[in-house]
Amino acid sequence: MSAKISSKNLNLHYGEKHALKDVNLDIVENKITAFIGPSGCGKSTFLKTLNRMNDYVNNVKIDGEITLDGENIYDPRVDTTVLRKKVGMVFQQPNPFPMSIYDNVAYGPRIHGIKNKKKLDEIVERSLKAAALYDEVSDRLHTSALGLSGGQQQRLCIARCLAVEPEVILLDEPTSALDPISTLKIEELLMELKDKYTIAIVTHNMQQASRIADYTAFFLVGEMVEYGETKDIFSMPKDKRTEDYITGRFG
Amino acid sequence: MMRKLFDEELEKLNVDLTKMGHLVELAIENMIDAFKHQDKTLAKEIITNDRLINDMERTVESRAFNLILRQQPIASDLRNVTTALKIVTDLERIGDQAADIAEIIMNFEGEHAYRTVEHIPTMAKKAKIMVHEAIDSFIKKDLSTARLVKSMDDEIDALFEEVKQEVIEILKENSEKIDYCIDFLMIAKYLERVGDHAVNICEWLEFNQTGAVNDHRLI
Ligand SMILES: Nc1ncnc2c1ncn2[C@@H]1O[C@H](COP(=O)(O)OP(=O)(O)OP(=O)(O)O)[C@@H](O)[C@H]1O
Ligand SMILES: [Mg+2]
Repeated sequence: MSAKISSKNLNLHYGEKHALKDVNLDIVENKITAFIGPSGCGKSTFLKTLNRMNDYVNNVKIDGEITLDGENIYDPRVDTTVLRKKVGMVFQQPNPFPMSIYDNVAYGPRIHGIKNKKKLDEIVERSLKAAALYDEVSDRLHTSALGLSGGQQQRLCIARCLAVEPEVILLDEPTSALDPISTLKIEELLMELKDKYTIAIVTHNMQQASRIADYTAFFLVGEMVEYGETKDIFSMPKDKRTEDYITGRFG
Repeated sequence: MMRKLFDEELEKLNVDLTKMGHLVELAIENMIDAFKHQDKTLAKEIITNDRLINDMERTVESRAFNLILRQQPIASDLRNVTTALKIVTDLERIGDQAADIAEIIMNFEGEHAYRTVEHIPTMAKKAKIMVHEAIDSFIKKDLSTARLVKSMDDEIDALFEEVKQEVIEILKENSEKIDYCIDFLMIAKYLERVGDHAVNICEWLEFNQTGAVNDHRLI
């Protein structure tokens, strides 16, 4: 099992607030890793450290190391645009840009300098297919993305993320706003995508984590309490706090 | 998960299972008494009461299935519900075996098996102890008692072999006794099976506490 991303003694402060405390964790290549824990425990914060989305927050202080393929992503020489092309992100609320379906998917590739129409057509089709959305939208690629259903919008966001050929996909509660069918579609999609990508997902849905994740990490007030194979975490967690949380005794 | 509701339902499940355990223990105790005293009235009562045990099995199963359906338990919750589902089957079988033996007692004519075959009373006592300790270990979640019960399994198996030898000797002396010799052997076999189910209960307690049975990881 090779670690695609490693977090080493990671500490994060928002001003005085110690939001991540000495987090050590490996995200395994071509696997799905789930982050679970009560609201405010630092899951999103941790996810965002993995492609330096926290750089935009005022007063944030990050110590320790995050390595991607062994290279520290917090090295000052790292180009964050390149980093975020490699490590893409999908958010809780589907956030398509107010433009056509086609332009949403072509947005990233265009930023990275691809102008050739035929090449863009190819990328858009391939990405929409990979996101299991193509068949539903192929006849209306040039209509507004805002006309799609929530589940379709979320798959569009995944397609947009795939269009720049990332290596890692980060998803922050990607199905919390979706109905069960759309949720299952996204889950099946992630299961297919993990052959090619490394996936990390924040979820509040225990069943979702146990359905799709190979590994699960449990966070509590900024601390990574327990990390292991999902089947172990959900059957015989080692730490009592994990057991209490997943069985609904607190949180 | 709504924890309070879940805890209440799990508690009801355990109360039913415990009640059922007591009924099964009583069935075994009565069976031995009926056997000892050739008491056909008591034997009949055991058979009637077995229906109660069967009904309780359905109640426990239904509670467990509904908990799984409505609460999707995980971790220790899942182990508690699935353990109940497994143990309830073994309890019901022990009840059946007590009733099967009672059935034979009802039809007994002639020689007194409890006195004729020396090792049968020993087997019956052993089976009773195993059932009692197994149920007790489950209620108290006591792994060391459970291990003790498991170690008794070899003893009751050996006793069965002894009974078999005795029956063969009886037959050698007088082949006309074949009818009740078959009954003796059936009773001994039922008692041996009672021991097996007691061991199963102990193994499910082990699963409940460790996720594994005999070092075989199940969950
Ligand atoms: N920009 C910020 N400035 C200051 N504090 C922040 C900031 N972002 C998050 N926090 C705090 O850091 C802690 C972790 O927040 P985070 O968003 O990572 O939690 P979470 O585990 O994702 O919660 P949820 O499940 O509710 O999404 C919280 O106490 C939060 O209030
Ligand atoms: Mg969050």
